[in-house]
Amino acid sequence: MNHLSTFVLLAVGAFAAQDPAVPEPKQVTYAVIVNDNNSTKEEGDAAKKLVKSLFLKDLTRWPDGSLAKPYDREPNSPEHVAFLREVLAMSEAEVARHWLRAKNMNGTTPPREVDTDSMLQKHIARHDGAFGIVKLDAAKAPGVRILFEFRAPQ
Amino acid sequence: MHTSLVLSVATSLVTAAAMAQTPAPARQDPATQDPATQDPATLRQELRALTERVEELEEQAVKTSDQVGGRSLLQAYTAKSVDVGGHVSSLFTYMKGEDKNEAGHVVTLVELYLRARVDESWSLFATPGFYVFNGGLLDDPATPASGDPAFVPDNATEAGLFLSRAYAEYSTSDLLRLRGGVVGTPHGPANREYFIPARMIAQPNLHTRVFLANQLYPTMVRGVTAAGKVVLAGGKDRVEYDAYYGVQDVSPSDGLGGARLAYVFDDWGLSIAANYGRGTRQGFPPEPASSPTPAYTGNVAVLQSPFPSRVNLTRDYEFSGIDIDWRHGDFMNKTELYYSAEADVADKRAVTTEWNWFFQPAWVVSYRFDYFDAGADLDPLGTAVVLQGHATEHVLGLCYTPSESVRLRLDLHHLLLPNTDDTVDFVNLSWSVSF
Repeated sequence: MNHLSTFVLLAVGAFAAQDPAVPEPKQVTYAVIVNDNNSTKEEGDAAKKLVKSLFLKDLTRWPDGSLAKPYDREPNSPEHVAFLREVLAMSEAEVARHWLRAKNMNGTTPPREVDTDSMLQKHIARHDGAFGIVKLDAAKAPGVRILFEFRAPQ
Repeated sequence: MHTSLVLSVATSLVTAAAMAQTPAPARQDPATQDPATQDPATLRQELRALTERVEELEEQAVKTSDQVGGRSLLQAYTAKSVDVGGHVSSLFTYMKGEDKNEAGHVVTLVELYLRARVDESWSLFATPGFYVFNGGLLDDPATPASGDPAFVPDNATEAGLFLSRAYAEYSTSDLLRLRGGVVGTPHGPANREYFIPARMIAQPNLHTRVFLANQLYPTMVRGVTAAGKVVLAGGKDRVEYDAYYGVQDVSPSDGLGGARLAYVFDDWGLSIAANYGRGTRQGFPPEPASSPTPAYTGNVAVLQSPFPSRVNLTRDYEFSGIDIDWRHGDFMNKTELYYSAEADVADKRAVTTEWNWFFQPAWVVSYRFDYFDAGADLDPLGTAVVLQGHATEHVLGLCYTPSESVRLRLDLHHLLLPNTDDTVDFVNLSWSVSF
């Protein structure tokens, strides 16, 4: 009986080992950062909606009236991919179509791309209406503050 | 005592001078030194110096980047930023008539986009353009019951400069944006996306087909516009308004105006708009003007339109309409319904609906149905008012976008001509390359 139970336990263990659970993708926290002088108080979904409209240039000004100046990241960067997925909720192709349409309606251009965290934060610190995306642990530069955070798979 | 003191000082000076002439041991380059053997305090100091240097360089890079722009090197006089773009678009066709078929060039145009932001409130946008065209005639307009496709010969009068947008803009809030100059009108989703590279089907719908013409509603005016957006429902929806007043190049002394009011359901990608406008359609000047029986035979349909671009009989008009723009994932729909009451003659009406499916990121298949009743007008001899009738068209299109700057299109058109059972089938091949 004792041997039998040991055998059963071993068999169950072996079966379990052959069916490994799918590992959860690691989540990374990102931050949308704005200039320190930005007085926007929106939070949660309202902040996401506002940032989406300003990034896509459907709106051009923050609630305090300052001219929005969005910055994008390199197309294949994790920050850009996470922002598209979690904040814009659009595919790369949809975003490309949006900019083609905007350009051909009134000459609107897409946001400028900045490739490093430190450069991006320097741009944002220089312009009151500027904003962009960094990984949370990189959001440390003077002159910028976090508007909201969001999580996305790595 | 005094002598010994002098000797002692002299000895010290000589010794110091000798030591000063002795070369000091050479300082080793920190980069070639083993960090393990270096003083941690020295390393920290050097690291701090390097960090400060990188900071300075990045500051400089940011300033330079701000001044020269992000996409190409450009120097502006007083503008904060300048964007330059443009496109070249060409359209060729194969048209199948009852007795003969024709293949040829319809239009090629180049437009430059110049946009400058002067300061936080002021900007300007202008699109000087140049075109050459052989506007394809679908049928003989003077004898609508017979005839075959043809092309307008290319000559100096069919090639020229045009200015479809040239305006200054003032805005301090999304609630109000003012523009003045040559401006686009807000009617119809396809007309709002005026420039050709945005289109999935190269030829516009029947009631806006003739380039820059006012066939039912104006597509551009020389005047002013006021527009704005009001965000509602916690940022989910918004109301957009546009109003304009101005004149057109064919009737520079007749004021016309209109407005559009739209509700945008942002989560659904849906906007529904009501439109209104009024003005005067200036009649085509008959040639010769002094003729006792003036003829309007020069006012012909071109650019694959079944109707002339202008009316022969001057009249006032007042139109209203609804347009719908729906974008959801890989599907897109643009629909318009318009009705124009024409003083003293039959009214105009138009329906168009276009559906696009982006079945691959680079591929779009489209279908469009157009109906346009052009109302009534003087006949080509100017002797009687006749009904112009209605035309319908089915278009099946395939558009390939190998890069975001290039669109290649192949469109199949099946057009029922007005006042007849005649149909014309044509295949359009077009491309737009933009930057």
